[in-house]
Amino acid sequence: MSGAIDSLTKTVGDLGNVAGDALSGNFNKVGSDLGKTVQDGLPLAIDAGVAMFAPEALGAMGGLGGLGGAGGLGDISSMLGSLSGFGGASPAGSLTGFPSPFSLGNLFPGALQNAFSSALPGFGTGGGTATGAGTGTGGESWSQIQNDLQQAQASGDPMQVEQAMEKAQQYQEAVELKGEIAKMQHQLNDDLIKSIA
Amino acid sequence: MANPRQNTAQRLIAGEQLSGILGVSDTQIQSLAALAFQMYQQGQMKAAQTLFQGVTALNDKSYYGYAGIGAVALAKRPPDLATAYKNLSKAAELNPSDASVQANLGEVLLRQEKIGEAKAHLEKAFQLDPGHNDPGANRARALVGALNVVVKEVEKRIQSQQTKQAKAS
Repeated sequence: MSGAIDSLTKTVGDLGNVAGDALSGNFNKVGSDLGKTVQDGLPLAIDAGVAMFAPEALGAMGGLGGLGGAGGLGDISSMLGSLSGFGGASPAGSLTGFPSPFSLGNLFPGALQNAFSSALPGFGTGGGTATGAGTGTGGESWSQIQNDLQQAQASGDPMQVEQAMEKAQQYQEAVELKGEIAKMQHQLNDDLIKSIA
Repeated sequence: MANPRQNTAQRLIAGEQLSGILGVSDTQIQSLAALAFQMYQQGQMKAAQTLFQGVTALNDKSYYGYAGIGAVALAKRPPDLATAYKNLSKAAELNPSDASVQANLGEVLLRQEKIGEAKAHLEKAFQLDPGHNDPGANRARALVGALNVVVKEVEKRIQSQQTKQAKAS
């Protein structure tokens, strides 16, 4: 069945491209792409489906044994029958070749639009903007952390020193993570510029 | 005095989330997931996978990372069905009400020819998205619709074959 679904996935993805062209007004491309999609994609999927569900129908084995068994045509027909009530046409523009990782509705509002700025706010900005879990370094500046460390050392309390050092360590790890994300953002920007140019 | 790194390791072993240790909030984790989502949409699968893995490392109770790793595995050609199943199952366990995750899990099971299990997840995906707004559920609807066309065509060919055999005998 994998072959049939591979071909179907490609067809669905191609239809998504066609819909994208239509939405962007590229109607010349729509005509040729649609023709090619229907001509190439669906027959491939059907052939793969025939080979998988009913090799006998292609005359390879003779007879019709095996249909309706586990994973056979009967099971698929039954599944499709019971799913038909939930189906219906999908908005063409939403069809893509890639699966969607998760429903965006579950993200907090604005997460997608402000992903970079929301990912690591507040670090090294001089305090007061902590949006973290309240246990870490969100919003604390390096100078504040250094000051805490000096005070802890002056107090002579090993527990205070350990806590201050841990905070400094967390800060450094957060800065490293932020640096990595910044690098990815630059790379992304470069790639976008290259693809436009 | 304990080494801070050793201390972090002990806290992780004790069950604390890395996000808590580093002071990364749920909002920030969701933003990282959103970043990964954007990279995924742009086809930067390796970067997306790294970020999705980072999300699960920060908080192993957050379903976004598993959902993302599963989608990346499913999007590979050929798909890595074992990895996709493992991660999507975990994502569905952590959040059973995400239509895209249910749809992707249904597709993985369909590809593995586990029809009954696939049906349950596809059905759930469609139920979770009655307004046809979710791209994941819509993709599954399109696949099911196309599969329907394939099955009807197969049935037609079988009937034609049967007719030919009957005539020949």
